[in-house]
Amino acid sequence: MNESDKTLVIIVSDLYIRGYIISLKNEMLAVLNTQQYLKTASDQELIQAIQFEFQGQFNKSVIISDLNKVLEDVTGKISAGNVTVVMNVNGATVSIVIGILGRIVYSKKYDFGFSHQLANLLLPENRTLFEQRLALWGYDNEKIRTAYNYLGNRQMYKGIPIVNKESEDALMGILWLICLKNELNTIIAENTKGLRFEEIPHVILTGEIAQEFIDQGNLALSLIDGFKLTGIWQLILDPRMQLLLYSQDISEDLSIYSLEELESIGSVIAFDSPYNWGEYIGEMRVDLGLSEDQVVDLKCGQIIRIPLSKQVSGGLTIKAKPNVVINYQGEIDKLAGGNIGLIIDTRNRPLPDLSQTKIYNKHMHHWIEALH
Amino acid sequence: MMEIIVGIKQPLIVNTKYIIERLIGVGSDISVKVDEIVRPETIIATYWQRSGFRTFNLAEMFKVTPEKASMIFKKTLGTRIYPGDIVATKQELFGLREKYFKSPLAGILTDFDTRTARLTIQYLPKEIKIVAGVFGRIVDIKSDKAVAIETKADIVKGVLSFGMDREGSLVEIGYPDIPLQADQLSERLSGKIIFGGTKVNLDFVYKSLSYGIKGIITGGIDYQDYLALQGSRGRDEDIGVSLIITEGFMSAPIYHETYDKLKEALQKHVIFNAGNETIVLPVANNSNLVDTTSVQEAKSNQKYNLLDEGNLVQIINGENIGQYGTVNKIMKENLIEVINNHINEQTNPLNVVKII
Repeated sequence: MNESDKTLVIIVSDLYIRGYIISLKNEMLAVLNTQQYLKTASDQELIQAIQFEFQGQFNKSVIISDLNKVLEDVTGKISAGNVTVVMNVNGATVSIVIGILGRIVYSKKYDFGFSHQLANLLLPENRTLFEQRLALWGYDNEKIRTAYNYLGNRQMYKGIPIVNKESEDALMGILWLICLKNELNTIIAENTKGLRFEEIPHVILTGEIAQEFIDQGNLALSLIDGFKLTGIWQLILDPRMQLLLYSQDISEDLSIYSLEELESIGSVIAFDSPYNWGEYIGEMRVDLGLSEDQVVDLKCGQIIRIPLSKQVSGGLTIKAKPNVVINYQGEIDKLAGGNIGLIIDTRNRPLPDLSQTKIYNKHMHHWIEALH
Repeated sequence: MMEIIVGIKQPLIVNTKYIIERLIGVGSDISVKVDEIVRPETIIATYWQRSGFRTFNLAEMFKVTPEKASMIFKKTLGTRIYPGDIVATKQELFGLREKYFKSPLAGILTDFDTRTARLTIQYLPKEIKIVAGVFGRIVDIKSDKAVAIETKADIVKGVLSFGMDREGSLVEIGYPDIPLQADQLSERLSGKIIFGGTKVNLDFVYKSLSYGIKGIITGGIDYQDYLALQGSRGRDEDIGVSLIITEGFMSAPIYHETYDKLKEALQKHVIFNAGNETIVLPVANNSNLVDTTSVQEAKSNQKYNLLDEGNLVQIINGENIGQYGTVNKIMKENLIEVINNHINEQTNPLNVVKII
């Protein structure tokens, strides 16, 4: 693709059909125009409507309907230098794809989503977990009932939006449940033995759900806890569902950062240590490019947020007590910021399960507060 | 002019042509013909229903070996027995005490396996008479399957349902503007289809089962309760009572026009079609069945429609969930103003459905 080429890419997902006019601009993938329709008519009718609307604005047209296949293709491209987990969550389906150094090591598609196929996810055992999590977030039975009813109505009526904190928390709980179904650490450990990485790993949330979230602090916590992240990760949100555009033949040199519209939530640094919760485990110096480094005392069992914008990269130095580890095989001198910034997570791994309510009751509200 | 498309809801279809399929058993004797006019009490088919069997292990019941059990079995295979008939006896304590097995059911002794001492009693076949249930005209007969009757009816359309098709006479329960309470149930409602209230809970459903209530029509249900009722096998699972929810996962009164129509049909025989979330209220005075030119057709396939100012809508999400109101103003593509006597809400059009 060169700068004069303009492609209409139409993405058919579960609830929406979207059209994008894309082009290359200053070596970046530029989205010149977009249109989104809720599926209120047949796919064919809506595709024609988009083609009609963008008439004269493109010289090539592509329709993407097999999202899973395209997602694997895209994940392969963007994981060339690291580990990339892409989670595509739509109304009726979910796909999780993991790429390591350009190779797809895991690809799973589920027949549940956050809208009309929600009941397939809310089986009794998952409902228990969902309710436990909401209870730890301070929800009483009445509020849990309200959250459920919101989800039920989402299942019945396509596209109803988040209207308040309860509805966003309910959806966040669903996202957490979806993450939980994947043994991410095992898959990554099995496939990265002996490898070293130049870029930190990414978790990218895309799909119809990605445009819904407002509270990125809670979103970060749901991803960290759901995937039980260890080591260092950059969390990325694709709110306008543009990641799949990367499947187009644009340029070999483009990286994930060539997509303007992706939002970095921030970077997570998750420590593990044999020390007791609350015990001092060391200090961390973060170089934000200011006259002095920011020094953070680390205590076991904390979540600390350091604001760091998307445009700034931070380096860090850690002085830690023996046996405090960051499970990451690569350099940590360049951490990307984002809307939340750096998230320092010193909770011992593996994270306690929800039945350990003593720990959660004591700490959960601190963790939530830390990310806001 | 800005075009906004929203989901639609058609809570009530009045005086529509409706074809009811009355299911009949295999080997039914059909007593009507195509084009024949029928009344609710007209018998359209008769058949003998085999009701299955029960087995009893006499060796286990009398604590004897299967060989000895053959000695205590007192009846002849093929005979008809009634509840209380003695089927087997055994002398105990040197003849001082006698132990009996009395039949708990009416049936035919069909088998006694001497190796296992297992006795099989077939229930007596029951004669089933299928009545038309509605005023109407026979339009199709599918042997051993169904008789189709064209009738005029009012159709109440719910938004979700649970259970299987049932029918019975309609009774109002509780109050239109508060949730149904289990203590409103009583034995007089046995075999009835009940309607009322803003919401049903699991207690109410389970208690209504114990009273033999056939169907419940109400405004809402909590999604948690609905998922619990579904169990692991989905909506086809039948727990013995059917539900039709008219408003959604919320606590909300049944749409007032629907409620009024249900009240008009009090004590009448109605058909609860859980499969497609409808209640069929046959029109009583159905004298001119051949003429269906004036009836309204159900727009069942249409799911979305253009939204205009002045349209009646229901709010399906947010603080005022369940409330009906009028679109006062379309402010922009993703913002409309809905008003009624109590509310003035600016909301995303995705949070409403248009009432047609």
